[in-house]
Amino acid sequence: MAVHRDFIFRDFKSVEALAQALRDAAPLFYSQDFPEAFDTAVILDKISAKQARLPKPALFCLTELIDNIRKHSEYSASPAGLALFHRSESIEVLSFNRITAMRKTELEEKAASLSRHSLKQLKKRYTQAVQTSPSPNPGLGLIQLMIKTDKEYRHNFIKFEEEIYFLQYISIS
Amino acid sequence: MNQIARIPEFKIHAKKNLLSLQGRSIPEDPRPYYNDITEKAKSHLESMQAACTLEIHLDYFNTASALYLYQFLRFYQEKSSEGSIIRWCYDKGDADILEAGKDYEEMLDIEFEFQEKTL
Repeated sequence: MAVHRDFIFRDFKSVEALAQALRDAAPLFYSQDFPEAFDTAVILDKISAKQARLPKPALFCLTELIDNIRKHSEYSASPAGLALFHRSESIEVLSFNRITAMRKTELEEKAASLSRHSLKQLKKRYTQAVQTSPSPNPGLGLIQLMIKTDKEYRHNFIKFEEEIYFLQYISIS
Repeated sequence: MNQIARIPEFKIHAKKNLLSLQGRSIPEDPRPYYNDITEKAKSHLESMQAACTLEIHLDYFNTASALYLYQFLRFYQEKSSEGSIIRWCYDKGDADILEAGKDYEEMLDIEFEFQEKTL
């Protein structure tokens, strides 16, 4: 099954169906029932062991995506996943995790605001945030993803009954 | 069993008056680590009172670390003696780390010494 950015906009009946579709399609798929179990260093080591010569932007992006799964998962007992497609000329990564309605609003606003920025403006915002932020800035990861992918970043929110899932897609050439 | 690296290795080479930071920086909360190396660097700089070199050779880092790395570099910039330098190392062809160094150089408004490392 060819995977591209539209995958995150498809209809799935349940989060289990979404996870299964990714599991079937992706050469590398990591899923946990508890987002806290996602360990950035462990997963990156596993991916690096299987995918030789991952381009550096991919490592920067994977770090942020995995960190975000942990940070943005207020629900400890909900599935989360990360799928990686290593193609000849690009790397595509999809991730999903459950979030709160409040977090969805925050993310929507942030993403909408950032998507209007050019790469140059995003770079400026990144360096300004690094210089002025007294503590980890929740929007910095999103800016980093957009910069490192040349804005080949997409996201979507899917509601399964009352549960909201945050889906992210990136492509690195 | 190999230890999983989440933080870079920080070393003080007292005889060379050299501080080095090498590896990847991806801890969930970088604050304790960067506070710790800042304290160690502070002790060294206070005891040496001479031009020092800070050599940084990172593989990659998360955005949380980017903030604390900036604060660490700023601390070094302020507390190190006149003539001290920051040497930013990057592997051959690693445009991302080179660019990160250029960004920090601009943010701190000082000149780094860049050094390409052959793999």
